[in-house]
Amino acid sequence: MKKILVVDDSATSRLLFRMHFPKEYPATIEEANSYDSAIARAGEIRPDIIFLDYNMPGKNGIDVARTLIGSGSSAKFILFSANLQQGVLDDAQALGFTKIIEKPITKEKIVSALKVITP
Amino acid sequence: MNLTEIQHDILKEIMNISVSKAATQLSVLLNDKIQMEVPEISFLTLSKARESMPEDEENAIIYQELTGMLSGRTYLVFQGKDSLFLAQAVLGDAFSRSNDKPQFYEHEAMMEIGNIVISACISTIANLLKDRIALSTPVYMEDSLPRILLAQSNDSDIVLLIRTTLHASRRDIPGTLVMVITSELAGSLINKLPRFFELIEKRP
Repeated sequence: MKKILVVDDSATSRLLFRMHFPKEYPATIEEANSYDSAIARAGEIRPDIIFLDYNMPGKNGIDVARTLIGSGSSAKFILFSANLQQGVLDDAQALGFTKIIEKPITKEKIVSALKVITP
Repeated sequence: MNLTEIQHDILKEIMNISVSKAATQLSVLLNDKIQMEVPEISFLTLSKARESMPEDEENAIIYQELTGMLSGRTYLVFQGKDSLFLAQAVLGDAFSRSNDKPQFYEHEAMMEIGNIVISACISTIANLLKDRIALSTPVYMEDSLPRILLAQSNDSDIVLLIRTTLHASRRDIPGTLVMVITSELAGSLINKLPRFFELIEKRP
């Protein structure tokens, strides 16, 4: 059973993620809505996979990954955002994000990201 | 500030590509076919821009601030305040299940719609011009766009106004995308237009 953390300031986006998450995939899903809550929640549950929105108030999703990687997290990071500027993609790739998916989220996009992690 | 014919044409094509991307994302989100109008582009004072918009119309508006290569705001404007309909279209059954806080999810869904549409459009502009544009988180308001523009800027400000309308085929709520760019950075946008050709030339 994989532990997944979804980080997005939008409650709608988190709800859409749960709606589209494949029911057959063995996982528990936890949520965080900000940089601070993501760092705290990741410290508590030690997630295997973290889905990160980019554009959040204050620090963005890449900042969350950078902090967690710096503190020794072994989670796989997946960026999901509508803001796929080349500069954002470059930052995510430089940090070793496993997959980048474009919002709006669909079941197919989540499945494609999960396949990269557990083929 | 006046645009030459070629500058106007490049800008229109960049906006056409960028708004098409936004329309595609809205289409996925609403599961509906989206038709879009060719973007209108003009340099004018804010007061002139406001005059071209219905003053008393109540709108559901989501906007995001732009900084970096461009400075200004992008607004996604839906006629009327009936955002419930759009929230239901996006969230489906989950919206009815969340009926303990319907207004919260209604506004939340509108902000997410705005975020996806505006981010798709702005990311495409940034990528076509090989630069970065930072976006704030979305803000949701129910008001008329001219009143919001007046509250956020001065009537004498010269702005680059880019406007297009997106129509969802099965739903009768047209969404208008309005970009108001402050004139200082509109100049730098125009200087970067030749990059669009560099990008095309590099394609195989």
